Amino acid sequence: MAGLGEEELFNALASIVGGKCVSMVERDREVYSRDMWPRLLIRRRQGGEIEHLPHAIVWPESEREVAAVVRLANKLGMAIIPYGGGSGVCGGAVPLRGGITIDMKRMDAIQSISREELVTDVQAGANGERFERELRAKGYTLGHFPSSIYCSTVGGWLACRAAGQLSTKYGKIEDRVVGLTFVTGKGQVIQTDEFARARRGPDWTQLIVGSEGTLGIITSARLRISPAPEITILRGFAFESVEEGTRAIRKVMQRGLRPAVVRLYDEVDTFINHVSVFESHSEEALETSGLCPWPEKGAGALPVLPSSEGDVPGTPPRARKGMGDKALRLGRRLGSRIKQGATAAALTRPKLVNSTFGALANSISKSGCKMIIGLEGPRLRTEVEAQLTFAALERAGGTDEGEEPGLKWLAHRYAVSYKMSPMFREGGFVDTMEVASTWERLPDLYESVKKAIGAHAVVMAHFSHAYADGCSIYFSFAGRADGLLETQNTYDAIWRDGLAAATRVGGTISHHHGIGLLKGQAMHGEHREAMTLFRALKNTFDPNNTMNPGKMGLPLHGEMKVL
Amino acid sequence: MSAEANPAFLADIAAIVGEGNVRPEGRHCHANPSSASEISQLAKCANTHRATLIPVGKGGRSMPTDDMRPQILLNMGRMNHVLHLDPTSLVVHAQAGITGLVLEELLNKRGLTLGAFAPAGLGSSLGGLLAVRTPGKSSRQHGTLENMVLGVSAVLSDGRSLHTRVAPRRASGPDFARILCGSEGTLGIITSAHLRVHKLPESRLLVAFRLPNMEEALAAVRLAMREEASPAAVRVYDASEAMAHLEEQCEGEEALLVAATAGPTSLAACDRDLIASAVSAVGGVRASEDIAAAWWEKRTGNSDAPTPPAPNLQVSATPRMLSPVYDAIVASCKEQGLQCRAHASRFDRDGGVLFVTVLDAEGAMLAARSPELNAVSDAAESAGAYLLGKPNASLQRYFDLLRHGLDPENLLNPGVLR
Ligand SMILES: Cc1cc2nc3c(=O)[nH]c(=O)nc-3n(C[C@H](O)[C@H](O)[C@H](O)COP(=O)(O)OP(=O)(O)OC[C@H]3O[C@@H](n4cnc5c(N)ncnc54)[C@H](O)[C@@H]3O)c2cc1C
Repeated sequence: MAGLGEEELFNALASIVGGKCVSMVERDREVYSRDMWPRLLIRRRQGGEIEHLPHAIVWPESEREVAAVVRLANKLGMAIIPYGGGSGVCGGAVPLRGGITIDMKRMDAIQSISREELVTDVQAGANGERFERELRAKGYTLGHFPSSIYCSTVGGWLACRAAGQLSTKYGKIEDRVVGLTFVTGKGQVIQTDEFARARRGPDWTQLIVGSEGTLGIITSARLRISPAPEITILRGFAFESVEEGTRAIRKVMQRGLRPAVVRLYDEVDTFINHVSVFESHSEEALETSGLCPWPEKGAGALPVLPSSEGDVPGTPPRARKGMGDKALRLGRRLGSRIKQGATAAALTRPKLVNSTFGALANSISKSGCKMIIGLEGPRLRTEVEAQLTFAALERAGGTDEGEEPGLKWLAHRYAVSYKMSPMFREGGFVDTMEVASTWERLPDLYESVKKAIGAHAVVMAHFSHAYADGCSIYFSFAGRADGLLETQNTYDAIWRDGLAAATRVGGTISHHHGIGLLKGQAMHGEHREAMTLFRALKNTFDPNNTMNPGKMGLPLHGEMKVL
Repeated sequence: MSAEANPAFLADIAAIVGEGNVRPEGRHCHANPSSASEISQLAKCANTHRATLIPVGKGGRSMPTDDMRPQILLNMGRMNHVLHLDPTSLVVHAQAGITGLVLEELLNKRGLTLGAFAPAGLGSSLGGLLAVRTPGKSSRQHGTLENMVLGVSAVLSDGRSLHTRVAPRRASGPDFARILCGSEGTLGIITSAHLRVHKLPESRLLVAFRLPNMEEALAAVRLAMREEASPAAVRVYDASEAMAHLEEQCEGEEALLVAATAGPTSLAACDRDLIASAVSAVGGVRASEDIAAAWWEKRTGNSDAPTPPAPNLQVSATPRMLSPVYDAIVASCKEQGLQCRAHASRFDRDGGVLFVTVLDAEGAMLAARSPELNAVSDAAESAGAYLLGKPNASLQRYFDLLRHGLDPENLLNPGVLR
């Protein structure tokens, strides 16, 4: 701490943000030692020590205070860790060098909403759910619905290039941002919200978005909003195979149609969705367990999408039409065996489970993959687009399964992410790997990453976030090993092999979760010489390496040469 | 300082690009490389000989006066190959020297297109189109040209070459390609790019409307876009511009709105209807489709009708500001006893561009930078317009730092973006 005693540090920070907004208490420091990176959850659950604690946490309320704290850190040679909701899943907020964690949540004002320009100015600490709810109350939507909407912030989204569930229509957060207010690693405040295309020079906004706090802190943003949708149309479709389903999505996107959401579940994911293997506890039990955030019924963010308000049906029967009784019983048995403590045994033999699931899923039904598709927006155009979209899907071999699967998805769309806790409690782990590529490479990406993960864990995937030129694949995997060390080794091997596979076939290692600590090494594999550009940005905005050091493949200590 | 190029300098360049692709000019040397690797070697050669490396577009470049170093003038004309067309993903990988128009023609033959960009904006080389940001390369349907970039390959000042990862979207750090796009060859030389392309639209519908005035016409565009109409192109003419461009007579302050909608037929029709209902909401009426057809012919270069000279003032503004900016321009002209006519186009979600022709009382066009024209553009700027060709002044020091990091010897296009 550059020779500064604890009390002096406290006083220095208190003089900027006020004594009530500084903490150096052990418990707070522990809370801010991590985000939602599963590796750290495993560690915590299995009694591992906390490796990195921040020296202090501050809760500033203005850009000026943020800048002053950053300047102080520069003077003291301490690190700064920006902290939003802490929902990041890559260890991005871990204080590797200790330092000062800046929690942005007090800076949560919606500063303006412009009807004419369809933009809003919002502070970085704004909670996603609250922000969307306020926009809705005024007749707008940001169109950004990450599963973590309840526990993440605008700043965190921009820092990580997050994607919401309706990104296929509204775009990822980088597509919604017009400009930023940003405190650099030297504590200077800059604005990048000039009318970008009328200005010469690079598009600064896009050089800062995705930097995960390694260049500076985003304090507010100007974001594009849309009028709240007049209608929402949802459907389920079934396809024979992943290839058929992905081809159908591609056809739709390349015709210039923009559904709000398209999700295609591979055979295993489709199957698991039916028998709910991971639903180790009933939802009711979860709601009351207090172990994970759970919105009260009907009081959620949610933009309960207008047309379906009030008539979201209860859980429809799990079995799909045509699914054989015997196969279903078999699946249920496998599912419930995993539930009932056999989880351990099953997850330590991932290859066996993967092949069993694969074969089982294939034999259950000829139409092996399920798709959820939805459109929303102004009535007229959305209806025309929906007709074109559904017709295109049928032409591409899809079977229309009606509205019900879509509504079911809508009702439960945030739920699955919060079902991880029981898995950890039972000694296993769950995580997700979201990669992307152009369509041409997508089959390779799917096969090679699935194989790489499948060697260590039970794996399934769905395709979501589609574009005219490509698509992302969201792999979910569950694994288990004996003891902390073994578990960590298994976990690390999954990521090492999975990301290497993605890089090898020309995909990207991250579509929307970001890099953090988890994918730092793989960053070099993906970008190679282009890392030069990142180093140049780092030296431009944060020459003293104050900001979130050691993340994203950048060095933890010391200076860095660009060329 | 000798007026002749150093023979060793010339010999080194010739060894890289071949004798036939070198042309000395005073102390300087033109070089026509054919590949990224030749550009990489030229960068190393520039370092060895303390020369600068200057990509020359079609218009040539003014040379920085205080820089006495010899220059390697990079002509990218030979780097005009399409390296790969991926028909599954609709992605084309092309070298930086191919012009937008040639690329478009090649794509058209295969039922593809770069997008709904005005052909007039695509005359430059791909490298130039990406390296220099101007608001004209934007469309409602496909956004800015930079948005079409999946990845770029480039050579840095020390000769290393890099490729940004090609993916539809990434969350693996900032968008590194955007460092090179817009930097006008000062941070690296773009050697090739992966671009999204689109299928040629299944159908195209053309419509024209008459509106009471420019304000209502611009409001109609905004209204239609709120309803998510996604036309391939829209243009709004004031009365004198309608006469000059389309020989259409308008009454008083009347304005003309022409639009092309494209895509699957029912969607194109839907977009057309959305525009029509926005127009009628602000008191406009349908006009003859011939007007729209005449506009489209001109836009695509298929018309023999004479084209009026290029406008002498171009400004962009956000959707809400277009109309006040137009009013400010008209008022400033009136005050100075000048005439003007204007059209607005290149609408996308962030705004549009006003193309203005300012004439003196006798009807002659004002010269660029004349005091009267400056007064008009000042008036536009204070009404909220963005003038073309200004760097982002408040971020200049960061640009300088970025530049210093990537090009410490200041070899790349040293006279630009200062
Ligand atoms: C249950 C669950 C579901 C999820 N679902 C999705 C999903 O659907 N889509 C998706 O994209 N992601 C998802 N995520 C991942 C995560 O929510 C996102 O990465 C989110 O963007 C992080 O926001 P945050 O505010 O929680 O950031 P944090 O976790 O606090 O921080 C993330 C990183 O950004 C930096 N940072 C935070 N705020 C700022 C700031 N103001 N300026 C600069 N840097 C900053 C931090 O230093 C850190 O490196 C999910 C996570 C969980 C736990």
